[in-house]
Amino acid sequence: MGWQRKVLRVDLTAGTCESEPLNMQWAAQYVGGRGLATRYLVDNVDPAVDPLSPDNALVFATGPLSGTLVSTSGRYCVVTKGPLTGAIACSNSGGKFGAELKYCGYDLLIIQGRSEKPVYLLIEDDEVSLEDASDLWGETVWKTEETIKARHRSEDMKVASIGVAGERGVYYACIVNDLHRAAGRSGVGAVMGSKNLKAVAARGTRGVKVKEPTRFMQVVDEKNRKLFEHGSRRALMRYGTLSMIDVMQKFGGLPTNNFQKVQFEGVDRINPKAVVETNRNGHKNLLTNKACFGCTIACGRIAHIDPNHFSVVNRQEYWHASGGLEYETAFAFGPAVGVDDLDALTFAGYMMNEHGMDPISFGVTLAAAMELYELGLITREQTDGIDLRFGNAEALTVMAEKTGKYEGFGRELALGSKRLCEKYGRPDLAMVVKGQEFAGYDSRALQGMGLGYATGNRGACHLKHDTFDVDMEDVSGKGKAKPCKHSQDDIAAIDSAGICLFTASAWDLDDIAAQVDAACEGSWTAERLHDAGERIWNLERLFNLRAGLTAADDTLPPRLLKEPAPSGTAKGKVCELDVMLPEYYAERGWTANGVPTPDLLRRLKLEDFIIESPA
Amino acid sequence: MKVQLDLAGELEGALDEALEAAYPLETGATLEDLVASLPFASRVALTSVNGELVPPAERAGRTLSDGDEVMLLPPVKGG
Ligand code: SF4
Repeated sequence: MGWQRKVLRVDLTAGTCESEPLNMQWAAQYVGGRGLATRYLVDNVDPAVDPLSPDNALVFATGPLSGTLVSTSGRYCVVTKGPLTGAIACSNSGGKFGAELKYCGYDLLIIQGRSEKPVYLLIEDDEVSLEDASDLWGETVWKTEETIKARHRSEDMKVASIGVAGERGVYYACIVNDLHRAAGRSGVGAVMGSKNLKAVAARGTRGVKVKEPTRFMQVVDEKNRKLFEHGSRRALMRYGTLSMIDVMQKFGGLPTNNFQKVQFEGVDRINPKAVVETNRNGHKNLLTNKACFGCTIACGRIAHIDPNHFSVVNRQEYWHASGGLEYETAFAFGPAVGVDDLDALTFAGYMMNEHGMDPISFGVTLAAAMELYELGLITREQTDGIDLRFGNAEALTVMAEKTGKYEGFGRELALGSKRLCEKYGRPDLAMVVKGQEFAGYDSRALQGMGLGYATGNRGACHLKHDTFDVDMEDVSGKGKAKPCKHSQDDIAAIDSAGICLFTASAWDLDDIAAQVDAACEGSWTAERLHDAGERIWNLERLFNLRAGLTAADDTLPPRLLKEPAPSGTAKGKVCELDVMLPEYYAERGWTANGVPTPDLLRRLKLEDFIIESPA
Repeated sequence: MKVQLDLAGELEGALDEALEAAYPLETGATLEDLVASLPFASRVALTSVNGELVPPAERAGRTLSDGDEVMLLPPVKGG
């Protein structure tokens, strides 16, 4: 109940697709989604493996609530060892693909090995096959999805695929489903490309059974009302996540010009007001909002580019509506690179979806390249004649396309900030943790965010902890360790249930546990979910330690630790990681070197993973 | 007395411009009084006075003066 109790295991080297029963003991301990996928990854992959070798595995996972009537239940996640970071990767996506995979009858899809030729995986309930994708190799995400649907005469089919970026190993290539939703971070698309797997196409007709249907309906109805009435839901529906750009601007936490500044002069030209204004050509950027499967929030944005804009002026193929700006895309293509041209930002977003790349990592990598260029360490000859100065909209649009197509200077940007800055002799300019680029929050202003970035198991990430409330009450490192740790555990549980994190603005863990309890075997409480979250966080940490990461990787770039914020609420402050990190390790029950102790691991039923004599 | 409000995000436009520029308060009013008087009080997460953050617990003890600049921001969630 809740779970389909079935795993599909695909060995691309052998060309086999076999189903096996879900390990229900693990389901009881790790819930599903992120947690269960992590448990299976640990069981199938040596953490020391080269992420782009056939020995790495790619696990697609739904949660027990995926595909049910619970709001936002279309989620799935992809767990693997990430090429960008060398750490565990866990990328979560919305759209409709997750629910469809569940309707095929599977909780998890484990992909191993490497196919000799390009293939795509076709799943139609129990009918599973590997299909030739030679003609699709080199195609965009959009063309791939269209072709596969036409080939199987099924508009209802849901497709998750990679573009050229994934095929060519762009370190932050993502997996795109439903044309503009993505398992975005850490390079999961590059892992898929390394396996010669172009796409997974799913068409399912099975439902999802729940434990107590009548109670389930009652609980879902009650929780939906709570969500519906909550002010945060209304705000997300009305403005999307983009409204945070004005908040971060006022607060002084909006990283600008590769984090040299924390406020951006051009913010009024890319904010929620700007996207609904009619420009001098009579064009309005934002068309409507859009919901993922079963979502009653509908934060997604659908936009279109002014046909007169230089990026598309003779390119009618880009005049259609597609995914519009959200906070992170607006940050990464806007302040991060100093660009305030709304249509250029929207075009860059199209490139990310069409070619399959993580917008945050791309934008922050371009920002690093711009700083290197302004310092004279990269020359105009190297950038294919493009003036890579901060603020140049053409540099943004051209480089987004070149990187997606793996052409010219785009091949350098494909390295990600860390490798790029190392190559050009200034590793300090890479705004990353564990090789993954920061999201749009500056950790001198949001100190708990800095701690969450530094300790993130997948590297810098704003979605695996939630310290916003305490961060905006006090611009110091004081009291941030506890909420950081607790929210990391709660979010690990939410990600594992198969629903969207944005429900957490209205629902607490009790609300989610009530729905899991009505759907799934066993008795589920907030406490049990929190404990599962803590188990999952520690297992991810153990994977990373075995992969060779250490406490030295729980750090931030010198810019955030030594260069004070130049303006805003945190003017004059640096991130107080030195204060927060020891408190955090203690809060977690880890040693001073960030290693989970045997006692902790026994309490979490992770005794199989005890590291003897942790220093 | 009057204070100058600065609203952002979903709170922007919640008051008409003239009121936002010069919001009337009784002399001796606190930041808590100000927030409580707003029709969107439950959506105010962050408050600062003249650039200095004031946590919710300290709003009642923060007396406002004529001409103070008060920034009010809504709750933030990742995205
Ligand atoms: S809240 Fe937004 S991201 Fe989450 S499921 Fe709904 S539309 Fe998708």
